[in-house]
Amino acid sequence: MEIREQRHGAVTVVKPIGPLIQGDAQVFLQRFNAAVARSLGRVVLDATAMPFVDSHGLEALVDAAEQLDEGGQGLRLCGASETLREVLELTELASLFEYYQDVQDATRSFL
Amino acid sequence: MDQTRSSPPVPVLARVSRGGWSVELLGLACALLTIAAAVAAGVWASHSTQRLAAQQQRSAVSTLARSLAPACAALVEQNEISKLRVLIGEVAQASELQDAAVLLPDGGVLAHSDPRRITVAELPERWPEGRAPSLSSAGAASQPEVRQVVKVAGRGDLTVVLTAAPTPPVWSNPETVTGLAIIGVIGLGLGLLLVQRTHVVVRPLRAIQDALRAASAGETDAGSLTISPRWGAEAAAWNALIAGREQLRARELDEQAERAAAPGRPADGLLDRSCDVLSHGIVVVDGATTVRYANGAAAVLLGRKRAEMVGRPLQESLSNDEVAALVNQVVRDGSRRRGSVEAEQGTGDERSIVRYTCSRVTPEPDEGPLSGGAILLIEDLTQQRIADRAREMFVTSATHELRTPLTNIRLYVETMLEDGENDPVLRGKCINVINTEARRLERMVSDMLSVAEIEAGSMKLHEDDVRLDALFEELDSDYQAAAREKEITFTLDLPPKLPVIRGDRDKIAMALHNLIGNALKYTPAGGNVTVSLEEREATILIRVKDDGIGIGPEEQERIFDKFYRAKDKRVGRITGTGLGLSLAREVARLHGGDITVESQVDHGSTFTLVLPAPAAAAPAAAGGPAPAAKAA
Repeated sequence: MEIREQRHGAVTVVKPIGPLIQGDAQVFLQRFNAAVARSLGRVVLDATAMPFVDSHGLEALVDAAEQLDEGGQGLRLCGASETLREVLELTELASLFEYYQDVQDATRSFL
Repeated sequence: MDQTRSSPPVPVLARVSRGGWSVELLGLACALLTIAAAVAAGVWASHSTQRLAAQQQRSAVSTLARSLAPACAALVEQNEISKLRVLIGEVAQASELQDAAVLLPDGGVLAHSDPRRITVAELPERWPEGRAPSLSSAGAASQPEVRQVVKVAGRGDLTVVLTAAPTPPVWSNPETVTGLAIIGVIGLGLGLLLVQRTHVVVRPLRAIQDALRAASAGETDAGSLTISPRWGAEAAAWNALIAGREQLRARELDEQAERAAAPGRPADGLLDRSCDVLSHGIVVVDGATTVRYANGAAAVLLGRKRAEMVGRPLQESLSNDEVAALVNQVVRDGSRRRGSVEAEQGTGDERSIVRYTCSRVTPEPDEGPLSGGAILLIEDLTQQRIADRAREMFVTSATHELRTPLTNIRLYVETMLEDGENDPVLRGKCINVINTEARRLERMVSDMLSVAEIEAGSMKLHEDDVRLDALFEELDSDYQAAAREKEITFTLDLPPKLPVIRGDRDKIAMALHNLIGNALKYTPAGGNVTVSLEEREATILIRVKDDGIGIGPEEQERIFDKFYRAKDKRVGRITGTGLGLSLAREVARLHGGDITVESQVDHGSTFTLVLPAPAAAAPAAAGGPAPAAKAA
C-alpha cells in the first residue's frame, strides 16, 4: 500500500492508496503518528482511495484516533466510502472520528 | 445485623458471620456440666450419709448384740426357751432389725425373729462349742451380720446373730429424687437463661468484631459497618461511632469539594478532564515554576510526554528562550502580570507558529504575591497565519485584478471621447475592449460573491434545462478573440448533437469560463486549447485540454483550494485570484459531479468537468447542431 502525504497550508494530509489491511496497518500507523508529531496534530486522513479496512486496519485507525485524542484533537476523516463508514458504525467506532466531505473541508476545520 | 439496607455494597461484610451461637452453646455446655456436677455431688453426699448411717446402725446393733447375749444365755440356762424366742422377736421388732436369731454351733436355729426359720424345737442338754455358721444363705446379698458368742454354763456356746435392716438406696427415696429433679430443672432453666443473656450480651460484641474485621479488610461503606440498633447500648454506641466517622468523612469531602469548586469551579476532577479535551495547550505551574498540571495538547505542542512534565520545572520542557524568560518574568520576578510570545518552531515545511500566553494566577489572600503560580496557554496559530497570508494575497491580487479592467475601461472611454467621435473604427474597438473588460469585471465580482456564498453555505442552484450547444456557442464567441490575440489555437471538438442537461446554466457557464480562461491564461503563444465533450451512460465529460505550463503532482489537488496559486514562477507573473478552480469544483459538486485534473509540468493539463447525464426522458435531440471543430 502506498501512503501519500501532502501539505495543505499547515495541515498534513495523509492519503493511503489501497485497502488498510494486515501488515500495511502498522506501517500506516507509524507514518500517521510521525505526521501527528511533526505537524503538532494538524493531520487529516484522506480515505478517498482507501476502499475498505480489515480488523488490523480498524485497530490502526482507533490507535491513531486515540493518539490524537490525547492531544485534544480528533481524527479528521474525509472521503470515507460507504463501506468504511458502515464498518465503523457496525463496530461502534464511528464516534471516534470527525467526518468531512473532502480535504478542503477538513483542512478548513483547523481555522 | 440490619437487614433493611437496600443497596448491596456489603461484599466484605457479607463474608463474615454475625450473631452466631458458638459462645452461647459453649455457655450452655458449661451450665449442663455444672448441673451434672451438682447432681453428682448431691448423690455422692447422699451416699456418704447413707454409709455413715449404716455404720452407726451397725455399731448400735453390735451394742445391742453384746447386751442381748447375756440375757439369752440366762434364759437358756433356765430352759426358758419360749421367753427366749419372745425376747428375740420383740428385740427384732423394737430395733427394726432385719433378722435376729440365736444359733447353736451346728447351725441349729434356737430362736429367730421369724418363727418359721426355727429349726431346734427342743433345747438339747449339751452341744459342742464353737461359732455357729452364718445365718444368711450363700450368695444372697444381705446386710452384714453382727455375731455375739456367749457361753451357756454346762451346755455350750450360743451365737446371737443380729442383722440390721438394709439401708434403702438413694434413688428409692422419693424426696431425694424430687429434690434432685427440682435442682436439675432449676439448673437447666438457669442455664438457658444464662445462655440467652449471654447471647444478648455477646451478639453486639460479635457484630462489632465482625465490622472491625470488615473495616480492616477495606470496607468503608458506613451502611455495611453499621449493626442493628436493636442489639442494645453497645450497638447504639458503635453505630454512633460509625455515624460520627461518616460525618467527619463527609465534612472532609465537602471541604475538599468546596476548596476545589470555589468559586464557580467544578469539582471531582471535571476541570482537569475538561482541559484534557481542549486543542489548546494548558500548563499550570506553581510559584517555583514547577509544572502542576499539563493537558494533552500542551504535551503535543511542546513535544513532550505529560508524565515527564508534571512535577518538573517548566523550563525543562521549553525549547524557546523567549518563552522561558516570559515565564520567569511572570512567575518569579513579578515584573509582568501577563505576557505573550509568538514563536516559530520546527524546520522547513513543518514550521509551526505557536503563541504562548503566560498569566499569573491570583494567590490566596494569606499568601505572598508570587505564590499563586501561573498558567501558560499554548495556541497553534500556524493554519490561521497561513490562511491570513492567503487572504492578504487575495486582497492584493483582487485589488490588482479589479483595478486592471477598470483602468482599461477608463482609458478606452477617454480615448473614445477624445478621438473616437470622428473615427467609427476606433470607437468600435474601444467599445469592444470596454465590453470585454466589463464582462471580465463582472465575472470577478461574481466569483467573489460566489465565494462568499460558499463560505456561508448559502450557494443554491437554480435548475433548468441547459442547452449545451448554445452554451458552447457563447463560449466560442467569448474566447476566440482572446485566443487569436494570444496566438493560441482554440478548438471546440464537440459531437454534432449536444444534449440538454438539468442544472444551473449560469453556474455551469462560470465553471467552464474558469477552466477555459485558465487554459488560455497559462498556455504560451503558439499553444493549443481544446474543449471536447464525451457522453457516457450516466455522465457527461467536458475536457479542457491545453499544452501549457502544466502543474506538478504535489499541487494538483491544492489548486482547488481557495486562494491557492501554484508556486511556479510563471504563474506568479500572471494575475489571478486563486478562486476560479475552487468555485468550478464547488459548482460541479453541487450538480452531483466533480472536476479532476491530469497534468504534467511543461506538457500541459487536462481538466475534466464531470456532470450527470440528462435523464432518458430528456432527449439529446433537443439540441441543435453544435459549433463543432471551430478553430481560431
